[in-house]
Amino acid sequence: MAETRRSSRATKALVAAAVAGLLLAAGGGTFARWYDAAPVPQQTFTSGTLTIDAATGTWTDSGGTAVANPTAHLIIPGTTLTYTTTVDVKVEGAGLTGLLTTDFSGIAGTTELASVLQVGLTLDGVAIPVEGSGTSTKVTASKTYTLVLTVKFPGQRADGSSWGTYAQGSTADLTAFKLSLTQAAAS
Amino acid sequence: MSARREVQLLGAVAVALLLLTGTGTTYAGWTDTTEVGRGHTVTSGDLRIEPVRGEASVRRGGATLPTSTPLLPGDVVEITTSVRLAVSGVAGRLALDATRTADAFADAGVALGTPNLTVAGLAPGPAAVDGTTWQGQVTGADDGALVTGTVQLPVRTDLAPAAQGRSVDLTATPVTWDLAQESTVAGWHDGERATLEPVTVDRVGLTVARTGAGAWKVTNTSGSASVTWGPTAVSAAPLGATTSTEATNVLSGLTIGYGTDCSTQRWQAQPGGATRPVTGTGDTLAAGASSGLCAQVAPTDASSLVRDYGARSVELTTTVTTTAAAAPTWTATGTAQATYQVAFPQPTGLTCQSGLYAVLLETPAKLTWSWADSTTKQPAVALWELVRQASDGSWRTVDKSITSSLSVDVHRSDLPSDGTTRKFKVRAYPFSTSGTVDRSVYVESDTVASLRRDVLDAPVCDGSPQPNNGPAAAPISGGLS
Repeated sequence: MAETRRSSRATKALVAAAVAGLLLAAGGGTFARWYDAAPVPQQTFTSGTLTIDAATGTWTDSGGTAVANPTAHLIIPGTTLTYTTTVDVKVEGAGLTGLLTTDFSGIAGTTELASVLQVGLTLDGVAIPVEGSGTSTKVTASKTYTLVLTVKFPGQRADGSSWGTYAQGSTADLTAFKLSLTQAAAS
Repeated sequence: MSARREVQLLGAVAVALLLLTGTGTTYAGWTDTTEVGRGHTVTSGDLRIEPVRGEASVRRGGATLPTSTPLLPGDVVEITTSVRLAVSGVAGRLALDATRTADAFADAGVALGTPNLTVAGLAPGPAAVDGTTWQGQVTGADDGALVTGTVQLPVRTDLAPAAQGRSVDLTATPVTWDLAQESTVAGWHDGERATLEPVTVDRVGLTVARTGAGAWKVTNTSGSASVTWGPTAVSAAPLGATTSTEATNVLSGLTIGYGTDCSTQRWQAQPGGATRPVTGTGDTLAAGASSGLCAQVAPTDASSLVRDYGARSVELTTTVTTTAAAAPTWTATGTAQATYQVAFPQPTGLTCQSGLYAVLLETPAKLTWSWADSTTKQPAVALWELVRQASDGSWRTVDKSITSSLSVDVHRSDLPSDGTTRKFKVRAYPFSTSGTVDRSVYVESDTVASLRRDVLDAPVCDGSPQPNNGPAAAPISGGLS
């Protein structure tokens, strides 16, 4: 019986509150006797930011000289073409973490030149894998990274011998290179 | 408010917030992608040489000859080789090297003068250029340029005779082009070889082929060289029973001349011993050409030669010498051989005499004959022999000792008792050695005498001598054969 009484009282209280609420919401104009009002402060909410943006980079040759048109530049053994750019990463938001991932296959095709070129990639001086997207870099704060892509024609074969006339007058295509920034699940 | 009530209120707020955000239970989050560059095409440069032309020739005077031409001293082996450059995006160094080619000549014993190497179509440098090596720098500006190298390898004019016939194998020692990337790394590299056919140094030579008695055909077997030629010496070797001394003396007793035919003389043998020099005006023969050679041999004093050396035979060997017309005047020799025999007369005037009183005195019949010099009995005869024809027709020696009286007696016993006629002739053998007569050489009387026993059983001549039809019934005329 005691339990039944407690339940009855709770029910009565909820009903009383509901009735009161309804009465307040209805705002019936017949509420005449007591009235008071107080301002509720206006609240603004701002969302976070998770963006990545690569600037247009520049190509340089082994001597550091700018290469305006890398397609027109003829690469030869013992030289390296270097592409340098900056990647602006914005990670703003409470507890927000981004995963920076590359999507790049390096050299495409089966030409002689494609078989000899060696591609390297560094992000802020740290080598990152060229191919695939299995490795990601965790980013917790906004930062501008320096991305360097190198395309190297080794000076000789692996055994130290001359290339002869191998890979002359040949072309090789660099695949499209994408960088992705993905919000990481909170840990 | 009690604690329980606070929990109840927070639960209600949470439900309200969930309703307000409208989010589900899955988490997607934000993502952004940017593309770096646009994907570029990388193109490589070129550093190649393509062969255009490679050939070799022999320069002789103003003429250009194929390398199959046998080389002569002073010839220049000229190698011309061209390549076309394909250069882009890279600097390189082009080199032409004929060192191994030149060395191949030296290795083969063919001495060269100072080689010369010139290149057209590209400036030399930076390394010094010499007669067998050259190099020049190439850049993309030289793309498509035709570069021609000319190597001249002069054969020394004083090339030793031992170099004759030497072959220089150039197939393994080509003139090489080498184009290498101008870099500290191995880089690109290309090369071409101007492979050459072997070359051979000429050999001055001749052949002497007999065409008749004392006649030959002389051929200049040189591949390139014109020569002057002629007989330069003649010697005599004894044949048969002739002694060396006799051979030398026979040679001394001969007048010997030579011509390119048998009607003229260009060369004459001079006095000498066992070998006599031959002098005269040389004749010219082009490479591969031939000429006749005829020896004209006669006794200087026929009677003396026959007297002293009748029937002697010698082998005359004439040395024929060719000399290259150009320096260093290489020479070659050949020999022309012929047999010369000194003449030898035959007994003549065979006469048969039989006496009137033969029966009573048993006087033999007598055969007499004449000889070249019946007074001095020269030339000397090693053996006189009387031969008689037997009933079977064969000729048999009649055992007689015939002195130098040029006569022999025929006795009754030398004839058949039945009165049958027998023929007789005389043989002269010129040679004997240590008392042994050489019966292989003889001459017979030019007539045959017939004798028989008469009714009184006396040897008598049976008519006049008749001509001898035997094989040796002629004098040895002598001369060349």
